[in-house]
Amino acid sequence: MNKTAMIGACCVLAACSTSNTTDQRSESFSIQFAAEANNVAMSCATVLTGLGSANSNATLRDLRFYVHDVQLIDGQDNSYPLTLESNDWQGQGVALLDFVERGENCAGDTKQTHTAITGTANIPASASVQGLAFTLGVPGALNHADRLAAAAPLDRASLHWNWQNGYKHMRIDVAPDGGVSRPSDAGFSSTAWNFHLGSTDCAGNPQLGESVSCGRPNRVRVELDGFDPTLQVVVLDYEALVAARDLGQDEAGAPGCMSGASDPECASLFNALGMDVDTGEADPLVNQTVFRVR
Amino acid sequence: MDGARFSGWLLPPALFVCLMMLTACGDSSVEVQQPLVSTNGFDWQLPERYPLPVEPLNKPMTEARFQLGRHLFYDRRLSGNGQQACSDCHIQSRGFADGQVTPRGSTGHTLARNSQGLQNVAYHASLTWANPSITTLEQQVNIPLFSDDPVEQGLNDANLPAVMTAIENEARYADLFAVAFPEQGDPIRIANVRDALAAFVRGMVSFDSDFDRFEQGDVTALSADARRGMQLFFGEQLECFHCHGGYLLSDSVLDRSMQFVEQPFHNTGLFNIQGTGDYPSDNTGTFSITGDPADMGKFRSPSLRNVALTAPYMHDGSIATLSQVIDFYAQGGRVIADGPLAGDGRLNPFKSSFVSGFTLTAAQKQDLIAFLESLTDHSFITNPRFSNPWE
Repeated sequence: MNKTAMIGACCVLAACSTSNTTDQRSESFSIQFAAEANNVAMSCATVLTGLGSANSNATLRDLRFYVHDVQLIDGQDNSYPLTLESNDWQGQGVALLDFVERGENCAGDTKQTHTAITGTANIPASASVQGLAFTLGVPGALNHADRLAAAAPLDRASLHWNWQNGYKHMRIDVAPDGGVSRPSDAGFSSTAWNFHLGSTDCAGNPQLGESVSCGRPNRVRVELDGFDPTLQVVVLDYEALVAARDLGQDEAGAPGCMSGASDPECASLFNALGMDVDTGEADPLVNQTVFRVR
Repeated sequence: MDGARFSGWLLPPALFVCLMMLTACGDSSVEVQQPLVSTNGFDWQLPERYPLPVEPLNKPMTEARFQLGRHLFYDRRLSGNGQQACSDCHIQSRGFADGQVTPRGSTGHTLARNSQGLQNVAYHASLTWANPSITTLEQQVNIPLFSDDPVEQGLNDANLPAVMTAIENEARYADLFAVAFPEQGDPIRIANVRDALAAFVRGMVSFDSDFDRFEQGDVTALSADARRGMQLFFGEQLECFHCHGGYLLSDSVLDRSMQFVEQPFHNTGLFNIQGTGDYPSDNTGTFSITGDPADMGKFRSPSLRNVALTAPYMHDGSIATLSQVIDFYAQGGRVIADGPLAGDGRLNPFKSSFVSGFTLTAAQKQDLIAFLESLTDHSFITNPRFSNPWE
């Protein structure tokens, strides 16, 4: 069963235990991710079909998201933090999953993708990994630091959300065939239906020595049972994210959902991630459906 | 005080002491460090009666950074396509506004909000039109540089290397960066570009209007008309001063002498779409940041310094002249009769209690305009210190 649990801006998993047995071994892991929509692997090159409530077709423009506090879980619910390998997509405990093989909204030069989290964990020889947990998003302690001084993977301009003074935790942009219209406004048109998840309602003046905190953290803990990292992949299901929305239309606000609490496009997407858009925290009554194990 | 974000925080008394020290300080070799304040003795060129702005501890003001920022501010090479400089939407002769309803970015996007004048922005408690999250100029400068919706300067991950190469290839920048960031071996970096731009804008102080001269004791500085207009402006009938008071002529103010700081935002009744209080969905003010329904349509009170230079007015540039702005406030809001934005802004449920309408004679209105015109700082808009260094 998928479960979600919300974390605050700074305190992570105080209740989770880490095994202290002496027969620990340092083991390398590669957690494979896939991004799919209706069982089609998503990339800049693929045509996406049957999306949302109007069965829209679309092309991908961006698909990247940050995760942190990655933990492997054994059969006794012991959790083992994964120490991330440092590379252009991983550092400071944060990994950027990146499924677009071209830059600049899939219109730019070809580039590398990053679809696996790599690292090491100290795990007792007797334990076997049967689950995975991670937090979607950039941790609060790093979210408001100076992007221009940040190391990878927090150096991407296109994932910084300047006007909310933080990062986009997740960015999935698609260009629906026929564009996006607004029923109430004939003058409105957009080429893209975007989902930008990030912390909102942030306050605090670093100029005055204050730390920045956000009224709606919009981070979610994802826990996946029945996961064998040697055999299985974590699937991000885009259709599960947008299933309730018509991608050819936008009722109000930014086209798609930019984490606005009152944006009519946001509520169902947040629910699919196990969150309540009004509070920016986990909804205890809702299980996330976007990430699953295969 | 409607719309205030903070109940306030306390500045340590050391700040006030520091302020007293700094007003007498002009030697660039002097370094005074107090909590929350840093200075290398930057000469703010302020009249004695005005407080110093807050200066970030890790971003000290220096003349070298100010001058580097001035060069960058006027340099179109600092845009994704080399077509636009900060100065294209912030024009000195217009008080660093641009005279447009709303500006266009380097790639042709039309922005939702009017270009603001840039005088004394270092003194605001929050930056941009309606964003309590943006509290430093370094944060703010990132927005025009890197924003992708709408695109302003249009820097991005793909074009940044070429933009920085263009900066490096300009011979004048080698010395400017080296002097501004002497502790760094390889100073031509985008973070330094950003910090220098913030330093230049932070240093844009403007306190040399007829109104300032009057306040400093020169009773001849204001005409009789302007003095009558000043009485109206600061009177309880018009209520202007509640949101546009103090030395900044804005209630969003932060300086080193302050004990308590607030971030106020106000709804002035420009819209009331379908009677629900809504503003156009691309321009909902502070609500777009906080998601608090009560923040719908709330915007920061702009400083009225140089206001006669910065038409058109309001966050969306939707009112063309000062005379029409006064008519708008006299009505206590705006009625839009038809179309998708129709609604009676006078009845907006989130409207400031100080925007309740008033009656003025034609002569009183002219007096009020004379006062607003007395807020123009002619030396600021002609000062070579803020002008294009490439000309």
